Amino acid sequence: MKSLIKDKYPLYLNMREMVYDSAEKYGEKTYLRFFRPDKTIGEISFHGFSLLVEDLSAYFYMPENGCDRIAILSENRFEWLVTYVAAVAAGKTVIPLDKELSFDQASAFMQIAEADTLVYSSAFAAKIAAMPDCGIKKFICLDGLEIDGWPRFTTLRRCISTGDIAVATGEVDMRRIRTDSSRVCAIIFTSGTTGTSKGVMLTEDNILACIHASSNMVNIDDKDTIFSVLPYHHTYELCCGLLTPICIGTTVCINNSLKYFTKNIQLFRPTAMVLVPMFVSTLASKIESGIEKSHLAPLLKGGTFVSNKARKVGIDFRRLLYAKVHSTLGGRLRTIICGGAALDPRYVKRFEEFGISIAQGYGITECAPLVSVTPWKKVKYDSVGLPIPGSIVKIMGEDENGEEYDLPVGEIGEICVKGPHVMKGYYKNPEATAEAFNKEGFFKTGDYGRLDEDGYLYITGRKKNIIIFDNGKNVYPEEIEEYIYRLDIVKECVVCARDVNGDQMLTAVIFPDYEKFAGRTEDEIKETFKKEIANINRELPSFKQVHHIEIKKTEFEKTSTKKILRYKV
Amino acid sequence: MYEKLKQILVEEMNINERDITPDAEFIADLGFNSLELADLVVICEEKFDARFDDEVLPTLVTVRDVVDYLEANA
Repeated sequence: MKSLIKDKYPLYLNMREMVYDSAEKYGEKTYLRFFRPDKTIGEISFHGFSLLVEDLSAYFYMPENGCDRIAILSENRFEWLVTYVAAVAAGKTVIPLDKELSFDQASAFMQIAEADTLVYSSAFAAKIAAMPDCGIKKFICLDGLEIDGWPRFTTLRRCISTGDIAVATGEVDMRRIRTDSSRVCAIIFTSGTTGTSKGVMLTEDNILACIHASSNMVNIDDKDTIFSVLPYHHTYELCCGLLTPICIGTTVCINNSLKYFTKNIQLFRPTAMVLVPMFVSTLASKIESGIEKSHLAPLLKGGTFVSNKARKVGIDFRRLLYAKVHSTLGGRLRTIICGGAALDPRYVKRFEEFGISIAQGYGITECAPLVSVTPWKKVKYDSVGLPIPGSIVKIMGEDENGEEYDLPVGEIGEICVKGPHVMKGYYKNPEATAEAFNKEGFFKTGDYGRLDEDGYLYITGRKKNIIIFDNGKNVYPEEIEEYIYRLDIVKECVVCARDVNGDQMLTAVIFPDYEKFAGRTEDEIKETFKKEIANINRELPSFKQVHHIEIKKTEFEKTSTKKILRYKV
Repeated sequence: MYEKLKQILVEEMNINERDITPDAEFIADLGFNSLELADLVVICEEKFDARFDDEVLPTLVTVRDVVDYLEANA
């Protein structure tokens, strides 16, 4: 299996070394492209990025500045990334916050993590000014002006220039400082309420192990351009979409708003994107609806059939056949890296018909975040790939006494992980940390899956989503949802247990693709789904059959990373 | 404003004219997804010289919502 993973890029000992090495290798090549406030496009080279990081990390490193635990609250922008990398490079701890959090929650997290510095963008300035004291001693604005008479308030520009002087005068030499890469360098709060959310403690070694895996397992290099659209506090976007490109010399274009996705993808003309499944399915439905409206559908259907056959003998005309689709995506897109949740394999196949490969991965914040990545040399459509180098993935079962045991190849159980990417634990939460690891020191992901004979991993469901009926039967809702998602009249769907007239009933809550029901009444729509679900039920054992249907008029409520909030269904 | 928006929906978003009413919901009745709704907003920004903040997008459920927003902000 080793031959499937290249060993082109090194495992760095620390973030500083990676940034300096990339500046040397890729020099003036563009690393980041972004929108300036006047909407013109700015660029920063790999060399320029390393200088900004060096200066800011020198500022963070100087004890008199009092920046030890640095929280970041901002929309996606290049300064966010400079701050993150500089904080880690300086040996400090960074606390990336979800900008969608309520402000009370954000300040509670800062208090829990004992943040002393808050780096923020001016979009949050008014809220920050009204914030109750949560222990922050220094406020650094990414894009604002100095506030006279407020010594605690400063700007990123000033910090960088202070650091620059310290570097120029030799007061701080970032190339010579020593930091411990096994220390906690990031505390990331998992989704949930303040009471249930946990602060995941990641070390620099954890993050570098994932960068090493992602750079060597995915077919992206210094000739590629990534279009970055997911929020930066998301460990998956941060690792695969922003930090890995430093290591492999890829240009990253920063989208300024989801609203301008269609416009900006044509402007930046990316060759690759890092997306979550929800984004992939939305993109697919937009493409399919474009095909329908262009009246080319029958022609393309026939063309796809021929194209699939032709590829088997080495003739590839997919980009010609789907030229219009490619032009709406900028014309150069060839790879989508997809992770964060399970992706329906039909999307992998469909995008491959367009000439765009989807590299699936599986991750969890506690693993910084990569557990497995599909090696581009051997894709298995429904798998999330091979465990990352240096790690061990085990599938474990539990007997009636709660004793854990290893399950053989092919059997479904809890996915457990050990390796250089696994977190130190949950911040100030020894009970939750103890619960998260088993006796052998494996991290219990809370996800169910299986391994095949080649070592590929398959996800079958989330432990906490499992529905346990009164009769003791267990149902993985994701398994039933996969059947329902195969219906092209479904946009979104959640399977759950509902109490219907006193009976616990497996229920499908469906948000239909209303475009397919133009002019049809609600009763007619429901009737259609009843018939389709009845067909699905015929393929399922009785305890997995859906006997109740609810039709939604609006999309499901989602997290900022586009995962459906199941508990709200 | 409603007529202008209707024209955009027909000509630029390929929506059938008979499906468009002030109360038609973009997602439930006109078959939009979130990216298509974002596209419509960008077209409106260009045609009406208006600006829609990201926070406004989730509040645009019906055709009337966009008309009202444009009348107040364009």
